[in-house]
Amino acid sequence: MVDLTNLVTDLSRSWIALAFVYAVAAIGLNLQWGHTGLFNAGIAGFFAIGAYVAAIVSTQSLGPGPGGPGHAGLISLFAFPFGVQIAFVVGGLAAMVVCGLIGLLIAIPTLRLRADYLAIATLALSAIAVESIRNWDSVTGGVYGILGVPRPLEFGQDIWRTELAYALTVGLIVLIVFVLMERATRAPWGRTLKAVREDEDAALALGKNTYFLKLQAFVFGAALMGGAGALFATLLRVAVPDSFTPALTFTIWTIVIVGGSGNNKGVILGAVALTFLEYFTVRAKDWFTLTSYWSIRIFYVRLMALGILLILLILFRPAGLLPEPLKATKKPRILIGSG
Amino acid sequence: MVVQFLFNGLVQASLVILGAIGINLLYGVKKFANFAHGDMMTLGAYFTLVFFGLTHDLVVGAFYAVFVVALVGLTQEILIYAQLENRGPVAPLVASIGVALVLQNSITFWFGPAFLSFGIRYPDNWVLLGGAISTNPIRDLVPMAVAASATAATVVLLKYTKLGKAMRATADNRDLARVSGVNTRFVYWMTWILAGVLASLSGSILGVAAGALGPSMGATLLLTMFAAVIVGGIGSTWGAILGSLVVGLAQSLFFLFSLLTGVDPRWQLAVPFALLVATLLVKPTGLVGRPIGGEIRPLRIEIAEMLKGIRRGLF
Repeated sequence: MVDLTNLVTDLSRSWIALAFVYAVAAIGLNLQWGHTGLFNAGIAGFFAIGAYVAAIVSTQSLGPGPGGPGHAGLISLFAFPFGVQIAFVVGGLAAMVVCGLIGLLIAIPTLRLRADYLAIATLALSAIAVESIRNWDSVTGGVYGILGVPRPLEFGQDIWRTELAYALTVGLIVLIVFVLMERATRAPWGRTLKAVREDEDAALALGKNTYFLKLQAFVFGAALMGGAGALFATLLRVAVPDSFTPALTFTIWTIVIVGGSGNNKGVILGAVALTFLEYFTVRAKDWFTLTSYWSIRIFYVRLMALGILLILLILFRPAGLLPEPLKATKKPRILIGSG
Repeated sequence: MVVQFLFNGLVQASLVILGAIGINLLYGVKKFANFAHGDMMTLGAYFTLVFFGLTHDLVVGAFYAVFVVALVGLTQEILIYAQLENRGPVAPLVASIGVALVLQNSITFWFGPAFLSFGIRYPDNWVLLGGAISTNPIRDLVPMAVAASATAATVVLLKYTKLGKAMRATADNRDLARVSGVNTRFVYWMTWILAGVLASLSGSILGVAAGALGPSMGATLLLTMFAAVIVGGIGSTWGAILGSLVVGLAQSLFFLFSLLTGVDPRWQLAVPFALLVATLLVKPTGLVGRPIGGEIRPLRIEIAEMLKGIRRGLF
């Protein structure tokens, strides 16, 4: 007899909530890559910066002690009623703003060059970001990280503190981001981005400021990744530098390419599917009897499978599971004054 | 002491230079940035270890490993990159990320995540130039010698042989090379083999110089290699050589700087990144490179365009 409460808790913590967090980042990458064709290889870096900015804003500062060198905390700025509860919102917004600004700084010199320069520069950025977090002990707590990051909506009652409630909160955030992004990409703004992706010279000839449009797409995408990083820190309740490896970047990339770049629904589907793969490899040793040889190596098998999936998709189905819809706009439901 | 640091910079550069030349060759001929190059180096190091175990001779081990990595490179070209011929620079880049994941995790799968070692007993340091340089003959001088001779061989190959000329012609203009009778497919294969050979040698000397092999040893160097390629200039072998020297010396001189000023030496990973960004800002073609992907507009025009966009309202 499976304990239902435990199962729901486990599923929502290790699969659903994680899927939604990845979905936010994947929608951000979809704006950059799927809609505009900008190659960002530094997702882990934006994730890390977002997670740490949110954690520093919303977590109690600890002095140096046996648990590590301590980190800077800004929570004391929120010393008014319900200050602790809204600290997360402020932290998330701060994470988005900081990541957007860093995205702007890296995009200005690289966007005018060929696509792979941006890829190399963002890859470098992510390596440097994680390394800086590891080294900057006095602010980030170094390798010990920041413990006890509060979750949003942790109001008094227990029902708000369950994993399911948290997963649903993140789900709501995904829904908001999804609706806004669908609106934005169907609007003239989003359609111009697609024009830039398809043929930048043609868009330029039509009088579009293509450099500025690409800059906007990159900055908004980076901000979304920062927001996802903030959610990631609250999901784990800790921010440690070791969780932001290049494998994270590649996972988000696989999510977008599996789901279908250019299609936000597909991207969310991809996030749910690929995080299930991750959940499966974590839980497989509880479900099946694995020898210790395989229970250690199953993680590497998962990443190998991810790589093979990425290669096969790029070779045989570059459009992904749900390809991008051909028509950007829907027919208006109510036709006023049309013949 | 400055001489010692300059010398250490040369050692540092010799670990990067072969990988940087390989990335540069692939970029020139295949027109994409190979994100799996670091993992090909790791593969070379691990196969050196395997053949070292079989033959009990490190040089022979490194020699056999060269064949394996070259074969892996050729297999990638035939199975993956040949199919992505006309799909722009990004499709092969994504595929190379997939290859990187597969290579790195296969290595971890077989050899485990723990550090391994060639088990070399390093002799005592040599003191050269009247005490100005203290260096280890195996750990520093052998990698330098291998890197220097492989670099020289590659330069001669590219400059004077028929194959090298065909490679440069293909890098310059693929279609023109093809109508002039160059077998471009053969050139692609040879480029991958050459890049694989250099990556494997680079992995072997990295294993000797670092004294330890880990599954991510090459991937952590990827950033430094890309920085070297971009600083020197994409599309030029001299650029890769020059860029590696600049990045290696800068990293080593940063240690001197941190010793003098008290800056935390752990920030030295930021040095290649700073050089990379500075190059992209000031001279995106690098020190000796040619512009790739059309003409590049000056930065101030781009910034003026951004400000114009902001003035007109965000959307």
